[in-house]
Amino acid sequence: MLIVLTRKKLYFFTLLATILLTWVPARLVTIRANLLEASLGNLAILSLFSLGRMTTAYLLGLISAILLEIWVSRSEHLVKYIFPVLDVLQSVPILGFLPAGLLVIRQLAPGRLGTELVSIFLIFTSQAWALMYSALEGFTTIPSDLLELKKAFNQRESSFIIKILLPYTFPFLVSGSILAFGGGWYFLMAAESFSLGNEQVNLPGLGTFLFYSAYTGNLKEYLLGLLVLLLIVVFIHEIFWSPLSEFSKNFRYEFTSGEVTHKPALTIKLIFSFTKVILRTLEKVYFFFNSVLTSRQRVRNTFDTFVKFTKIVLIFLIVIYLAFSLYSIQPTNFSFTQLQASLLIIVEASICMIYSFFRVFTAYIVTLFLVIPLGIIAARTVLRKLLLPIFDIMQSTPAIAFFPFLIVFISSIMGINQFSINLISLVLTMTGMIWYLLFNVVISLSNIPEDIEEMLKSFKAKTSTKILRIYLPAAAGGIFYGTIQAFGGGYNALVVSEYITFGSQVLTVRGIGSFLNKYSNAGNVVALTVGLFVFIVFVATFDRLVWVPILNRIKRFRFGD
Amino acid sequence: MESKKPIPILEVRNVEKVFIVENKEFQVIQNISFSVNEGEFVGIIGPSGCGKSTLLRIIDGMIRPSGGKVLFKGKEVLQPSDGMSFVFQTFALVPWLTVEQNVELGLDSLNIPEKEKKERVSKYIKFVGLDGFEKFFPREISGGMKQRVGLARALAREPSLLLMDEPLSSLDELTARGLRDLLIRLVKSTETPVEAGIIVSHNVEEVVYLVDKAIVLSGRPAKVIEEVKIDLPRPRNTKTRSFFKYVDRIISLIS
Ligand SMILES: Nc1ncnc2c1ncn2[C@@H]1O[C@H](COP(=O)(O)OP(=O)(O)OP(=O)(O)O)[C@@H](O)[C@H]1O
Ligand SMILES: [Mg+2]
Repeated sequence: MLIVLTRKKLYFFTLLATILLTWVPARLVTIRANLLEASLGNLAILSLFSLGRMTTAYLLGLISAILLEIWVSRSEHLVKYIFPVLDVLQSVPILGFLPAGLLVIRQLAPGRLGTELVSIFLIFTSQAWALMYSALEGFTTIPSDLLELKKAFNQRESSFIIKILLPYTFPFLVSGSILAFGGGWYFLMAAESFSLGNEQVNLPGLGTFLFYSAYTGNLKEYLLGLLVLLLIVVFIHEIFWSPLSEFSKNFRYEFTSGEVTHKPALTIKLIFSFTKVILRTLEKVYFFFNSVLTSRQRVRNTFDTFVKFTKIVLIFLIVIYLAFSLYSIQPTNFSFTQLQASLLIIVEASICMIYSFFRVFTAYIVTLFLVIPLGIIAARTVLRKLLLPIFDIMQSTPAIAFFPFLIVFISSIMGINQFSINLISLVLTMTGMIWYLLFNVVISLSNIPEDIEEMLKSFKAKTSTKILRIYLPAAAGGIFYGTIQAFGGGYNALVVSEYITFGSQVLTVRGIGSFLNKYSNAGNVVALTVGLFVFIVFVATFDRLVWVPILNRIKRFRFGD
Repeated sequence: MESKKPIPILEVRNVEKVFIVENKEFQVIQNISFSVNEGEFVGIIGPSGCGKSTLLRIIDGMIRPSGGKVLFKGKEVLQPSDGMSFVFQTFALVPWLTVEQNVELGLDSLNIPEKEKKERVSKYIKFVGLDGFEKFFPREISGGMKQRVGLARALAREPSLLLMDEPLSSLDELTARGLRDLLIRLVKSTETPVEAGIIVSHNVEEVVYLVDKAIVLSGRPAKVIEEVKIDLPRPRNTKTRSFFKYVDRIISLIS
């Protein structure tokens, strides 16, 4: 069933989409959604709210990722410095961004709009890094001769971006988007209902609904909410991510012969034509202004100065504003006891960080033991066709939604004691790490070339040899690519895995995640900032000094370089 | 040269291969028969994509034919056997194993003591002229050397039949010429246990230089157009009239 997209139809669709995109949200804000009512109508509204936040945050992340990539493409050395920064940023737990988000954004935009923006910002921080990573990764796969070509032929920037940069990045962006969206769902609860001191924010949404039904121990409602969430996740996956990822294979450079072209599904076609229309309109507007400006040199000059001037003024205003808001949160009279207190907080944060590190590290090791055999089975056996789609859907499903079951399961076996709480926390932390490792291991193992597999068959290599000499090393190559992100995911998960609200009780273990929760509930911005600072310093030094050197040793277990 | 009645080491009998792609059958190989005698070096030549590699993989036992059968030393080939070794066009070396370890991979299925394994590995590394490079990784050596590793790995199994799928096609012309004589030595001399060899190629000159008999295949589906016996004394001179006559003959058969 193919719809031929004529230009007329395109404009019609654009119109329709614009109406939907502007009118529906405008209507929705006026609808009074009930936070907790479990009727289907209410759940549908809550879902739309959540989906709207997710999509807005996602689009912002996508645009930032592409802009970052364009920026990086202009200077070759930049990419080296950006990866480490991203490594750290993607590790920062969502609550680490909360004070900044609340204080800055809320002052810019008060009221409901402001809270919505904070929530979108929080979701953004759980999505954007994966998108940026994949955009940059896509950039690094552009062959250097194409980059040279750009210089040699003095290729126009826009043509470089459209013809080379974006096509090369496309498949990476798609897989990054799937990861990012999954990450967004994972932290939906934390992003929709959070507290800073006295300020308890509960935005109408599926996340809040789930949080409160779990909090009040209302199992039936919780299950209903969970079901709706899963339906949405699977629906989006089927209608959107899965066809998109199939379509993106067209852009992948492959060695095998007998390639098939993957025809785009209808949804993908619509999205593409929609984007195309927007881009074309933007281009027309741009060319119009450009022609007006170039025709009159003087106008152009004034315009340029005006742009420069506005930029400077804007930066100036932002700096002043930031300084002002920082000043307003500083205690005005700084006394010795306060200094002492903040020193104590640094010590406390550092100790918590060490606890957390060991938690994440243990989770990492256990995850590896799971992921390697699972990866081998999923990538190199007949179960491939069955398992990969299952993993895909599981990855987009926020594991956090299943936390209550897990907690009930573990605590019913062992009771609630220090050990079982730590175990629960460990497993929860793993849910934030596993996909980065599993997918990279699967990719690495899938990249084992056909000729190697044929060679093993022809020479009748033993299964043990195959596993020890080929599969395990290849898996290690994948681990190289997944580890830093997995650690980031693990650190991220700490705010929900070290401070678990379950029914009316709160299970906590010592660590930076519970530290952040504690001080964010207490509204102690200074402690939050100190915690964030300790965290960033720790992660940055640890990544550079310990991980990168170790990981570089397993980098060679990779086919194709 | 040999007066005795030649013994076939390999017989290909009415082999057919049909692949099923997206529920449609398409025939790649149609009723191919030929045999390879002891001491013989046979070439399979045909247009690109006609099914040469598929045929060689059927002979090795990596894939099963849709019809007909392959007899190796009188027994039907149902799966890869220790008596045959395969050399890959793309070398098929494992990047994180050294030259030595890659060669040793060929010995994995053989039940021989560790010590003998080590001896065989170094013997055949020396034979292909790679002594001194045992501890190098594939990425540290040139293309020609990589294929030497591929050859050493195949030889270390001490097979009686060597199957080579375009072993020289990924190499540049000069390197490939350098390796041709090594291939002849492998198959024709008594220095190795190899009793016969089959090489797949689409380079006509290479085939005329190397083999005793060329099986010329047609394009899809692959059928035998003709078996061309190449009666030229070795070492062959590529500049002679008789050499060119063979080259022209095969080219006119294919096109
Ligand atoms: N496993 C497979 N499934 C489906 N089709 C296949 C398969 N293997 C090979 N083919 C097809 O069979 C045909 C013959 O392939 P083969 O690789 O044997 O040709 P070839 O003569 O070795 O080609 P080349 O000169 O490129 O090496 C090709 O059209 C190929 O696409
Ligand atoms: Mg071939």
